[in-house]
Amino acid sequence: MIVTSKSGLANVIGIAALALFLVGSFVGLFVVPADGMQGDIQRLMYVHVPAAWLAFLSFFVVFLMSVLYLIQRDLRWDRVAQSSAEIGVVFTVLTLALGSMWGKPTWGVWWTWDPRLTTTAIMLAIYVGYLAIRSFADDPDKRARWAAIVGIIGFANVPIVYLSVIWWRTLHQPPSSPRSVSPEILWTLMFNLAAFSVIYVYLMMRRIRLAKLEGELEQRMAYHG
Amino acid sequence: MSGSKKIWAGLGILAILGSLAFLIAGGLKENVVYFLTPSELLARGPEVVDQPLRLGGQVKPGSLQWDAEAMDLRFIVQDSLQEVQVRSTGAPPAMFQEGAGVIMEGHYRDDGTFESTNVMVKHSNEYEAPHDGQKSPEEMYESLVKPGDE
Amino acid sequence: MDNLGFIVAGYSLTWATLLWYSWRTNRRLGVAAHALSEWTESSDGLTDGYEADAPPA
Repeated sequence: MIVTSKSGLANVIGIAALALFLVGSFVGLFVVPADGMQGDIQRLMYVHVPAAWLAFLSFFVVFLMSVLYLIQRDLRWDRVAQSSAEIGVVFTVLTLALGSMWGKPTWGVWWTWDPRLTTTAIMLAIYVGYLAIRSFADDPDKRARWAAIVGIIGFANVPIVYLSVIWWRTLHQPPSSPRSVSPEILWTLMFNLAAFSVIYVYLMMRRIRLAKLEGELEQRMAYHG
Repeated sequence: MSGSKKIWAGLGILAILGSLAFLIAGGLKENVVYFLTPSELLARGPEVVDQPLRLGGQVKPGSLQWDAEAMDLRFIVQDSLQEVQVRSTGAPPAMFQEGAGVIMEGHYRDDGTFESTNVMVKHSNEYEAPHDGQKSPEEMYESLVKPGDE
Repeated sequence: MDNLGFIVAGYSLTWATLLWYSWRTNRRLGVAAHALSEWTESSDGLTDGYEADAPPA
């Protein structure tokens, strides 16, 4: 395996991510007191909410990189967008699964078609579609162009997911704010959000590198074959 | 196209898509109704009888009757103006209690009761460790219905 | 802890998913890097069998 200087930095960040999330999980599970109303099941908040925020962040990066690609036509931006979309899909699946596990004992149902859950499912479908569409184009520039268009239009749904609980009646509660969450719970949430962000940075570094190598391979095969 | 033209074209596309999204969302905003309140249900009256729908409101304190043997649950769901008698079979979720915000799936019958097949309990966006003077379920209910809905 | 099953399942799923995705990406990275290095060797004129060195689809 080719070892590059970049993988040295990535490894350091990866180890930091691991350590942060170990501490975050430990504090969330065993140190901070659980919510008085819900009991211990509220501890799922420390993984569900960061997963959701990182999914939003991932798709915002897809949006930005798609715009940049269309302006500059540099495949570097396309590789960042592609990587962020894939990681965003992983976070979205986690968000939905964890929300389901939190919903069953509190709401009483695994799933309901309320506006928050429905728009989140649509968000997942859009970015699975984004990844799928990429496999239909053989030409890297054409593929990047199609993907960028989906990455920009598809992002319109992301703010709707966030605002759904403010605009409409839902089973899902509206977003928490520092005023509605006691300090120890808030800090535990922020710590885990930081841990998830470092995990995102690590995964992005590896995934972008992979996209770069795959791009080079594809280029050589096209040239020689 | 030159670089600056591309940027302007990009900004133009963004503006169009942004306003499109705004319009779609604005349209949805008017039309998306996940559940009816008791007032809305009674106002619509006969047209919704026997139609599958969701009803959401607060479990009226003092109205709860639970027959564990027959798995028969009866309570009144209310908003600030109206109330509807609900009957349901099966155990309610653990967080179900008087004063809580609930959303039910079922049918409104012509005898004026709501026959629920599924009771869901809403919880608030407030989180804090147990302490004296715990927040009442009534306060939680405030997050169920948006301001201006009633 | 009440609802222990849900809590354990949730945290386990989170850890398993993130570790799996990280492992999968690193493995793909290794495969791609290997294929690329083989490629470079074969392009240097040592062999002409680069098609056999293409990464698995």
